[in-house]
Amino acid sequence: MEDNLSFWVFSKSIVIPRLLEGMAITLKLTIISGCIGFILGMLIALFRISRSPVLRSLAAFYITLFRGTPLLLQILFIYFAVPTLINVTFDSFPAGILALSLNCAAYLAEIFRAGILSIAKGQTEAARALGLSHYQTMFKIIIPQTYRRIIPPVVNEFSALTKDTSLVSVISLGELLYVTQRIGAKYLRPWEVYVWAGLGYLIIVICLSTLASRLEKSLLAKGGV
Amino acid sequence: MNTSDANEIIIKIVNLKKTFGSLEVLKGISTEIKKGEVVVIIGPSGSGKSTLLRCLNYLEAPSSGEIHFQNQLMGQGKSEKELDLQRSKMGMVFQNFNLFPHLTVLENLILAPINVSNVSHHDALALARSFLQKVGLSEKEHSYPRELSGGQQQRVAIARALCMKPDVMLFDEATSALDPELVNEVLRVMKSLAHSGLTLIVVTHEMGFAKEVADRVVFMDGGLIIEEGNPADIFESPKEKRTIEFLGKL
Repeated sequence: MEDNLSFWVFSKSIVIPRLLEGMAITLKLTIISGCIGFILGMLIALFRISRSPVLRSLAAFYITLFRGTPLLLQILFIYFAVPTLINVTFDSFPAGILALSLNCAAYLAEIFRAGILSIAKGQTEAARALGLSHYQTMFKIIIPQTYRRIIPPVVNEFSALTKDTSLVSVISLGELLYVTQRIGAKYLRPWEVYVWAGLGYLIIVICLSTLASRLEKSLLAKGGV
Repeated sequence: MNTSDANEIIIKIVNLKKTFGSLEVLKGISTEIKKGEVVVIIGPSGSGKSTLLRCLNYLEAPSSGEIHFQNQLMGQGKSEKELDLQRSKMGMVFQNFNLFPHLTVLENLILAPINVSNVSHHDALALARSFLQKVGLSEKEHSYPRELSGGQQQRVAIARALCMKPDVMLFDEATSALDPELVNEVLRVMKSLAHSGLTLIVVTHEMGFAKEVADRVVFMDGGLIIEEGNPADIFESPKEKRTIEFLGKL
């Protein structure tokens, strides 16, 4: 009986309510993993350029590992393999967050490092000559100047992250793609549900880019760096 | 020069050497600088003048030799924190100004007093405004560096260094990046500092400045001090062949 519903009725009554639930989870995954990845990525970037060879190699190893293996594998490893190695089991949501955060931190770390290295050496020299410590120089002088430069690559990374959350569907987490796939399979109406899923991701990414370009403009007004 | 400390040595440099890879830029510099003295270092490009200046506050760590600043050995055996403190007492002005572009003029000035010397925000502002007035830029306190001319930026950079109440000011070719018509406004500020009794070490190509305000002119070439003396002696009757050649080319 439901097979005969028109596109609009099917969409409105069946797809969209569940789509919104899935989108909420996708958003949560993106925002939480993005924030954790951001902080972790900054830490790894600082390790990567630190004066300690141990910290530098640790960071390089981390980045190589997480950029060099597929995210899908990382998700499966954390959800299925880690519990057999150590005595911890994850629900699919925290497992998804963990995998996405760790993965996006590796990419963000390289973006942050490039941003830091792009600031002229004279800035560090002027700050150190005034008596500022290495960390004060980093956090008050160098890093604030990287903000505007790193917005475009960071938005790239966050857009990729938004879409990568779909991989978490393999561990049965009810995010956007997972719920639409389930509806599609149940009602045998794949094209409608996939169009809606695509729109769902598109909306999130467009909102993100709009926000970023506003931020970029407001930073440009302030000092132009 | 204040007579009571006319002979007080503020900086003593002992056999200072600096190599970059296989290139020996400083080959053994020794000299003393008295409190309140205005020392101008001249010499051809690549003679090591800037490197010497940058070694003084340990922006470059010397390869060997000693720097004594106010009777304390710089750098060696000191913690990072002690070195930061020593550095903060040597103001430095760079060829390319190096103002912090994300901060306003006022923010540039109060940053180090607040974060390094623990001056209160209120006192730092008062200090900053008094030095901005001294360099004639009071009306620019809320501007960002990119909104200023080169000469104005350099005057802000001088004020920023002064806000740390340094005992010595180092000028590394402070006018070399400026358009000719902007050089004088910066030199004027430097002259007033020279007359205020502050110890200045100035690397410059401005021979007029050297003749007019230097207590001592140091001529460097090939990583060594070739000749030093009062400006009249150096400019009018140099003794060394290389000094004569260098001054002859000007």
